[in-house]
Amino acid sequence: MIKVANISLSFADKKVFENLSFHISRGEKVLLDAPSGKGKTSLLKIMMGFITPDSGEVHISGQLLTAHNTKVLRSKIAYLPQDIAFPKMKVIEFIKLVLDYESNKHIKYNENQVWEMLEHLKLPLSILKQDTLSISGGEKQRIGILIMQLLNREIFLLDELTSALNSELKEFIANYFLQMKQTVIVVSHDEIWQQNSIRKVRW
Amino acid sequence: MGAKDLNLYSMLFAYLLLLIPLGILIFMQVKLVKETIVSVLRMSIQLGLVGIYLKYLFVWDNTCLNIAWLMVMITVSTFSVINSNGIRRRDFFLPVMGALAISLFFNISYFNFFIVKISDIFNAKYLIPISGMLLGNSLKGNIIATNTFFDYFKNREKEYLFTLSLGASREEALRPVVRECMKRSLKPTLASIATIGLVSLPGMMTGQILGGSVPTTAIKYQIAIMLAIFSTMAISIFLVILFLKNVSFNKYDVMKRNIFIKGEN
Repeated sequence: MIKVANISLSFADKKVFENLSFHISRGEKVLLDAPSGKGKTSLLKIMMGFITPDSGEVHISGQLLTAHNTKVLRSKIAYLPQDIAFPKMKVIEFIKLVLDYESNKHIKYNENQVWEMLEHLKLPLSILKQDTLSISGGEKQRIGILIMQLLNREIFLLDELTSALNSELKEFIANYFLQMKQTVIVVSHDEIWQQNSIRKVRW
Repeated sequence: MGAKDLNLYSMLFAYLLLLIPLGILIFMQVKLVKETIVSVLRMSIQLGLVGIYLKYLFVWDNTCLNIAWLMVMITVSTFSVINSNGIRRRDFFLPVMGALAISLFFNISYFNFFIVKISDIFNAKYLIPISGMLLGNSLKGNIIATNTFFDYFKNREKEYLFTLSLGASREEALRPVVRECMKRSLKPTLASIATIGLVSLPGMMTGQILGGSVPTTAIKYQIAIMLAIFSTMAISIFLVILFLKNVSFNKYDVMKRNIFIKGEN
């Protein structure tokens, strides 16, 4: 599903990591386990094409990530950071705006599906009418998850997603992702992800 | 008929007006005294030179020379926009200059040909002062628009990247940014258009009335010039953002890091 081959990255002559290689299979749950400052978040951003590494390759679904196919490969990935930044508008308007992007046009807005997902994510229906700036961090993240699910993303990159949540919500979110069939890659200092069912990639 | 000339004593009295504000600045210990003096000196020298230059420009009234002077005005404006953003001249000189030049040449030609209806649209007496007004105002708008654009990426890039990750194309992800740039830069001008006559009698009108025009003529010119200013601003802002979009991003649709000169970003 994802192959990272001999990737090196440095910022202003400071080496972040060197010749990093690993492979992640479809449906696997993986925790990137490295000390702070060792470029875990940067690695997720490299997979998204937000940062270009000094050398090395990333393959997603068997395709080498290049400038030409970034958009296509990005559309397979859900990148969810801790502080998801929504533009200011009503939640429902934002969901519809996303579905209106040219590359998402084939996905139709299905009210029943959204309601079911809200329930599954323990969110009230009324949240759809709320302003994106007025909802809490935990709610924002779950709306982010909901949208990515609507977009049928195959790979989830979670960047400290649960860090600011209370323990109950942490557990709920962790279980949510561990039970899904999609591939999940986690960067987190939370104990909750230190489980046996999650493979650790260390450097 | 023209406005009464101001002699040396008149100008001396004009400069004397500075004494009270300077006194206030010194008394209140606002550290603007040096800046005030430098600004006034700069204005005096610049206008003095332009006065001499314009005198000959109007006498010679040579199309090539007139256009060359416009290009000087556009170049100075271009540097002003670029410097206010701390971006690299090498990358942005042509895009910014292009936006200002296209918008100005279109609007000044339209103004002189269709509104003033002069046969030689490059006549110095019309071309230079009116272009100055159009360019001066769109310069302000362009500075606000480009600052808004780059500030967005300095402070809210996450929002843009998240939108990209949701499947938006660069164009789609930039749409809200472009709207914000247009809105912020055009609003002050719209506000001044809406209060004109009530709060201020603008410079052009005052000048024409002092120069001997009847108020109705002055008012018609003022309306036309305000509309031309708005048009020049909107077109140049639209173009400058359009051109910036093309040079500011890498092949992955992420804003390039090396477009800012050191010390910025």
